[in-house]
Amino acid sequence: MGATDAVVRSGVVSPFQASLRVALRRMQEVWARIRHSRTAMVGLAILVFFIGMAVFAPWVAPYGPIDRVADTSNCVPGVTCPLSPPSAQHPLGISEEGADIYSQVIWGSQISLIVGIFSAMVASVLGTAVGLVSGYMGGWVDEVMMRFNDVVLSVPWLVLMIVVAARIGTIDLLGLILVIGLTGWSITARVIRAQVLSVKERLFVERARMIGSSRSHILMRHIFPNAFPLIFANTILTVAVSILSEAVLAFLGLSIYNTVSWGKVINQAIGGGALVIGGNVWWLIVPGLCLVFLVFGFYLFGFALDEILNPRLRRR
Amino acid sequence: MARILKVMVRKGVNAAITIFGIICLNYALLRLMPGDPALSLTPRDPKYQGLAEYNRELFGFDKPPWEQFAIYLQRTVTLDWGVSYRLGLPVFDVLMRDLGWTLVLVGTSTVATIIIGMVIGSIAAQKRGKPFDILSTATGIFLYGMPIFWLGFLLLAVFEKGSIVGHYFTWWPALPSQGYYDDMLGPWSWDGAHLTSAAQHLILPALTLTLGTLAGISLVMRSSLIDVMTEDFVTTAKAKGLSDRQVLRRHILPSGLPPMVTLIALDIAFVIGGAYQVEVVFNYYGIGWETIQAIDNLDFPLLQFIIVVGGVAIVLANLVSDFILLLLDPRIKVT
Amino acid sequence: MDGVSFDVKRGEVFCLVGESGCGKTTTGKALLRLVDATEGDVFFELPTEEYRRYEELRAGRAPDAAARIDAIRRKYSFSWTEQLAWDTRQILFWLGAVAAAFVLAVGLPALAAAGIPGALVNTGFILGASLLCGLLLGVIGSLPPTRPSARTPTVLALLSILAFNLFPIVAALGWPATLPGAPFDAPGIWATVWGASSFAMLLGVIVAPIAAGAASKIVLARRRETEGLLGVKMRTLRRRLHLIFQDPYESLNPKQSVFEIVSEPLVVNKIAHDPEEIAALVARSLEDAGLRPASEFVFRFPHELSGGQRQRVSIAAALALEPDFIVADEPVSMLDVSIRTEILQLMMDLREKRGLTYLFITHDLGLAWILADRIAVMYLGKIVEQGTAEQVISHPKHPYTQALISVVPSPDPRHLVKRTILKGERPDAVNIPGGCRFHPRCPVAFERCGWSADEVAEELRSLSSGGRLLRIIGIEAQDSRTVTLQMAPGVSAGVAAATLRQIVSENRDSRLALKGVAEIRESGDAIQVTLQSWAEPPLIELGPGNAVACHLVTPPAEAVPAVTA
Repeated sequence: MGATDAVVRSGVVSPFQASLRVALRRMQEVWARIRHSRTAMVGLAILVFFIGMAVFAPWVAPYGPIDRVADTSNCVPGVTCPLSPPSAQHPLGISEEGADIYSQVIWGSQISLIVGIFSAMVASVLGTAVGLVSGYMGGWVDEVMMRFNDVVLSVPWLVLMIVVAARIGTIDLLGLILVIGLTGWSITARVIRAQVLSVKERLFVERARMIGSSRSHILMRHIFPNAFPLIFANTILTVAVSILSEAVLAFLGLSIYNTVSWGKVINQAIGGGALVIGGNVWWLIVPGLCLVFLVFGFYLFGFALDEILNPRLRRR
Repeated sequence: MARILKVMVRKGVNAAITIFGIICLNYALLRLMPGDPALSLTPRDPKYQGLAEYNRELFGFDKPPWEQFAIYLQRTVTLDWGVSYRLGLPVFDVLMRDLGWTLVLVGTSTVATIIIGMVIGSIAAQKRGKPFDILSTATGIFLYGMPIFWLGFLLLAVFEKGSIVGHYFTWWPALPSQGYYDDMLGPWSWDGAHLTSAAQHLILPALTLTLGTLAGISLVMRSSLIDVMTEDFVTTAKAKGLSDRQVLRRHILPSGLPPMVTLIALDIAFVIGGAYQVEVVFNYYGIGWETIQAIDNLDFPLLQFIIVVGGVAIVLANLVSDFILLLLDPRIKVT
Repeated sequence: MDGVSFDVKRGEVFCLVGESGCGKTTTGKALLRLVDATEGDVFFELPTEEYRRYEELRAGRAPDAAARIDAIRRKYSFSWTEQLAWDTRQILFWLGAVAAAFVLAVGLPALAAAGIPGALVNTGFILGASLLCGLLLGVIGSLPPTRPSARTPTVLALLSILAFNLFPIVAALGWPATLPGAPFDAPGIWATVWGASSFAMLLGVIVAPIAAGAASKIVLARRRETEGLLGVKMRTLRRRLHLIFQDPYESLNPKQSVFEIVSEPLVVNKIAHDPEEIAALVARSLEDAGLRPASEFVFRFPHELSGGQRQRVSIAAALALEPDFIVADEPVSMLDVSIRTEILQLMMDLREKRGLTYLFITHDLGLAWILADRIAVMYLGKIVEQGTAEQVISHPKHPYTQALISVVPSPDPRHLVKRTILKGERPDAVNIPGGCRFHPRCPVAFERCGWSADEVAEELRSLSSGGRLLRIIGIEAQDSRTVTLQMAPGVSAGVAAATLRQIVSENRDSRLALKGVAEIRESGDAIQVTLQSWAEPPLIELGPGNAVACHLVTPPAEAVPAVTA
């Protein structure tokens, strides 16, 4: 604290700088606690693994996501021809279009992660904004927003997504992110609103009102920081949900056309007869396992982070 | 009693408003699609030209917007929803028929999920830290993240007639995997053969859906029970000498249940989403399956009202669960 | 809480004492308008003559008393609300504004069509409509009961932009006839309307918000003249009044550092902008509050501080505003006893150093004893005794005060005082006893104190179950002033009544409720017991500043009106 003392004594610190310094300290504390939590570290390890897979895909995968491994004319049946079973050269076999499934799985991590993370951010920002405003304002603003939220929540999200997707037109990356994000904000809004409602009643908010803070000041400086840990943990869980949503959409046929995601691989696996006797069952299993583990990693990390950032007053 | 009635009425009104909102949203969505709505409602095939005109008139696209909306509302309420051209049947009939099957599926799995999930959750909470707890929690988190359709395929691979596993282990039980009852038995009637067949066909889809949503329920049940268990009044009860069972029944469950019911209500939307996937995987001809078919075939009359039907179903399910919640614990303050 | 009235002089410590739930916290909060009072006034810095005039007006019957009272209230009261009626001038003003808007809306397009060659008719229409829209919004939005603030014009300007953008879509969807061959999708429609008269739209977007802002500014300025202390001035006033909460744990935001907490009042009220100035003020407040050296505490978080330190931070945050008046709501009751003295000492020192005035709310009479200049004792929402510390503590007149004082432990073991333990429990706030609110527990209650039929019936029932009223069964409270008793079969009413009278007179002094009995009569075969009339004891002033509300205390001799022979 020596440096801070000197700075304070010289009086150069502005409230903004002071807050930054303080925020930095907090983040260091949180990181230390993450390191000590076994759940968090396991989750983090899984995430690092998959993120690494996504980032280094161009170098790790032997082939591109939709490259044909060999032409139909000179392919080796059972090894490089379409629908070949796993072999030494192609550990997961060849897809119906002639692509190496192993590479597809590696490349697929990119789409799943990118879509998952960014759409979760969209959903989180939107949901948090709605939840904050709705919870704090109360009254008819709250009622209207919650009715709207109910409607969005009630409509089967799948259908909504499909209709929104059709509206946007051809599916590109941005479109997919928007679609999943714009349909996934409702739960976040509900959760954040509940938290805002409870924070609003706390004594220090009353004190802030008493000293004359404006409503926006209270919202940003008191309510939001106290809701932030929940927002953060919730976002991580939303990422997991988004990844699953993308998989479902891809499985149903709505996927980006010039590359693959895990859902699309599974879709192709079913189409390519993975379940039939003599079919390539690993084609179906491996992408699914990847999905499961990635989501598992996010959940572990998310739960652990939630525990750290939202310490329950009672120790279990 | 009067208080409960008042709250119920308020919730009923809210539900009605939400349903109205869904209907309006539906209207807006179709109108927001690019192009002439009358043409959207018909396939691009030239032989359907006449149908386009019919639709145009039916929905009144050539009339001013306010009249259009009024026409739309009127037709929605009178259940005159146009004709699906894939099947040539009125949309309403098709949807009602499928809705029944979907409800059977969703209902069975929801009941199974709730019962099994709560039991597992409460046992895990009681045996906190012991192997059962760790195992069930880990499995739970694992299953929670599993895409339901993938799970469905796995189960298919394992259980269906003529599956890979069945090929090698002839004694492995084989379950039917297509449709909701055996086509060869003829049209539906309420007799023994049909019922057994339907039940058989229900097993795999329901199993998938149950497993998929079980995890969430049991995990939350466990954590909410643990939260209650560490409360002081539970310690007091134990100190008073009540057996563990009695403590559970009289003190823990009444406090731990209400958040559960809230969660179940919220979860129903997800369950229905899962049902869609399950129906596609198992070719179970319910709303979900019909939806995907409609999308593939651009059968817009059908698609348009699936939103309404699905939405209304969820709102009603939430309403029912809210009422149950109210009856369970009159102390709950309704927001 | 009802009919509470007291005044706090500058520079003194005024203690409000009472049990929990008697309404003292609510009083404190109502003072600072954290809670709204349903009726009554909070006067701030009211000069003494004005106050006297106010009292006279309230007591007297002058015909224009109401208006003159309102004038005083407008100047000095917090609770002057803006339920301003629409006075004639304002209505005329509003009508004039609407008329002007119409004229502009019609005239401007005409001018445009005439002046700018080739302008589409639609242009003028849209322009005029937007102007009208803006003006109307501005005028309507600034009329009562809108709270006038600096932001109202901006909000209204934004609203008019919104309305303006909604307008083309509504127009297009509603009147497709004017747009031949329009595409069916909303963006297309919008583009068409925009494109058709983009000039007008652009001008309209600029004009409407300006019109809205200007209109609202004008009307708001007019309203501000008639404004009271509330609303406009409340913000500045909040700086001079402050509240210190009871709970040091919950009153500080766990996510804010000490620096942020103490500097927040300064930042929010825009008192200091310079970071150096803020840092200096924060340091000074912390040191005044006893947290030395300030630099050690500045970046700590509440969870790193002890309860006493947290309360000091609260005090420092209060001091940062340099207030004149502090309401302290049980500031030490959640702290360890050893720390209480320090904090109280600090508060007294600050009073000396900074010339503060305190309203101390506490349940601990011992504290009031030490700290207060003047004390008011509250019970169940009413002040029962009021006076200087000397008067209340040394010469308590109300039975409640006497009981409270008797249980204050004395450090001197030789000093034995008979303790008056009050019987019964404090009743619920929903079940306030009639008459004197204290009478069910009062050791010296008598006839006029407010015994209700239920209480007397209860007392008779307990006598009966004790076997003292053998020949009487069926005791019922008939109405608020009568109790009916049925006799056992075979007993005559006369005999039963006589027994009852005897028992009542025997037990009057031990069972005080019986003092409420006025008359015992036979009527038919039942006995009617009629009760004394009672009244709520008013707060009688025994001397300057010393008042008691108890029937046992007789008011000083009033001036006897001259008897006309």
